[in-house]
Parts: sequence; C-alpha cells; structure tokens
Amino acid sequence: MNFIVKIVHPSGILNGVSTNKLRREISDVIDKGADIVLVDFQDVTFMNSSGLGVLISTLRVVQAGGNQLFICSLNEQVKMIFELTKMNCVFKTFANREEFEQKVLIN
Amino acid sequence: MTQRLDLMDLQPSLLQQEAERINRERSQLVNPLQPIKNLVLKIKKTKPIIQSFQLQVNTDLSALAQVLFWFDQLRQPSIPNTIWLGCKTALAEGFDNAVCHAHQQLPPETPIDIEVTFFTQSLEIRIWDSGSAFDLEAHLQQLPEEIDETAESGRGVKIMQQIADYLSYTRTPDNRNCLLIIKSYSP
Repeated sequence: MNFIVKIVHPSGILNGVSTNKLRREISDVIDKGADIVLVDFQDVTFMNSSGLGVLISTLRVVQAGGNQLFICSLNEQVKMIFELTKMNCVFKTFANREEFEQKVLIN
Repeated sequence: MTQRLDLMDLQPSLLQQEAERINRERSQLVNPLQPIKNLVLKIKKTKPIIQSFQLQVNTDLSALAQVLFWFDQLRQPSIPNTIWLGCKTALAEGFDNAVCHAHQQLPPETPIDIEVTFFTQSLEIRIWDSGSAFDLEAHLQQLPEEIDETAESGRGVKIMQQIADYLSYTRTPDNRNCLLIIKSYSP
C-alpha cells in the first residue's frame, strides 16, 4: 500500500496564532489526500505553550482521521519546551528529514 | 585641645592621665565608625546590579516577536545557553499570560511593561500588567501534579514554575500586578 507523504514547513515563531495557520495548512494537505504529514521545524525559531496547545489539538484531529503526523528538526528551545511539557512522549520526533525517511518511509 | 607637655611635667601620674585621656578621645572617634563598618559589610554582601533594561509593548500577541528580539539583544556572554533559552521561554509565557489573561477585558493599547535586570550570577525578569488581582500561589497549588498530556491549554504557568528558581505575582501600589521570574546560574 502506498502512503502519500506531505511535508509542511512553518517558519518563525510558533505561538497560538501562527500555529493556527499551520493547523489549517496541515488540514488542507490532508484534505488533498496526504496520509502522513511531516512538519519540518527547521526554520521555526521559537515555540510557546499556546502554539503547543494548537499543535496537540492538530495531532488529535489528524489521528482521529486515521492519518499520521510527525515532526522533525526541532531547535534547542523547541526541544526544551517539548521536554518540559512531556510532549516528547506525545509526538514522534526526528532529528531531520533523512531520519524520518529512514525510519518511517523505508519501513 | 591638649597643651604641650614640658619635660618638667613628665611625672608618671601625669603621663598616666594623659594616656587615659588619649584613649578616651580615641574611643569617641572610633565608636561611631562601627555602624558605618557594618553598613559597608552589608553593601558588599548585596548583589551588584550590572544592568537593567526596560521595554513597553501593547496588549498584542504579535508583539511577542518584538519582545523576544529585544530580549536576545540583551544577552550577556557569561550566561549559559540553556539558561538563556529557559528565561526566554518563561518570558514568553509571562507575556502571553499578560495578554490573554490579565488583559483579557482590556483594550489593545493597554501597555505591558517588561524589565530585565542582570546580576553577577542571576537574572530577574519582571512583567507588569494592569489586570485584576490574581493569586498565583493558589493557582499553582490547585494545578494537578502532572498536566494531562493531551490538554490543549493551561501549561504556561507550570512551565514558568519549572524554569524559574523563584516565581511570584504580586500586587503593586499603583494597582498593577508584577510577575517576577528569577533565574540563577554559574557562569
């Protein structure tokens, strides 16, 4: 079975407002047929708890629809907030796109 | 003052008297010095302020970018990266709370004042808002030990508490609230 993978690439600060934008982008991509969404955090400079809240609800909606959401390339600050809130247990994160490809796509 | 003693006056008892008089004078001069010495010791023990910086922004979530940019310019080289990122994170949460909670019913022009003060081994972040009084201690007490992983909001205060060495939210004489975050570090 073939999975359709789409990558979403937000940038800048992820607070409640900008993460809502990201949520809509993810929802669009899934509406257009993606089964797996990879959110690449390479250009995300900072994330706060409001952004995190929106990301969590996005994850739930994605999963409820039978799809999957992964994230990669988190910087130190984003990693920190993930650890503080134990989000590293809720989200599957990868160091970069290559790791994602290795571990998710090749399997 | 004293008169010069003539050699003729050098009798032991006179010398004795003179010695006692000098000692008394000396005491009178030295005793007032003690409180001054104590004050000097006290001053030495208090932490020297290196620098203090202020910023005022509107009640506007999009001002976060400006706040973080400003904060990054203040960075002192002696502060370890993890500490800096932690403080930045706590500052962002405090700012978010001021906008979304304290100023929820207030117009966007309502100012939020931020002050960052650097000491030799710690930094203090203060955020003033014009919201109504709020008992942060009580709020922290009633938070569950572990925040439900799937909860979509309410983490901000807990995050600040985890990062800060000291956290307080107090009412000021001018009817505002002041959030104080203190973080110590070893350079």
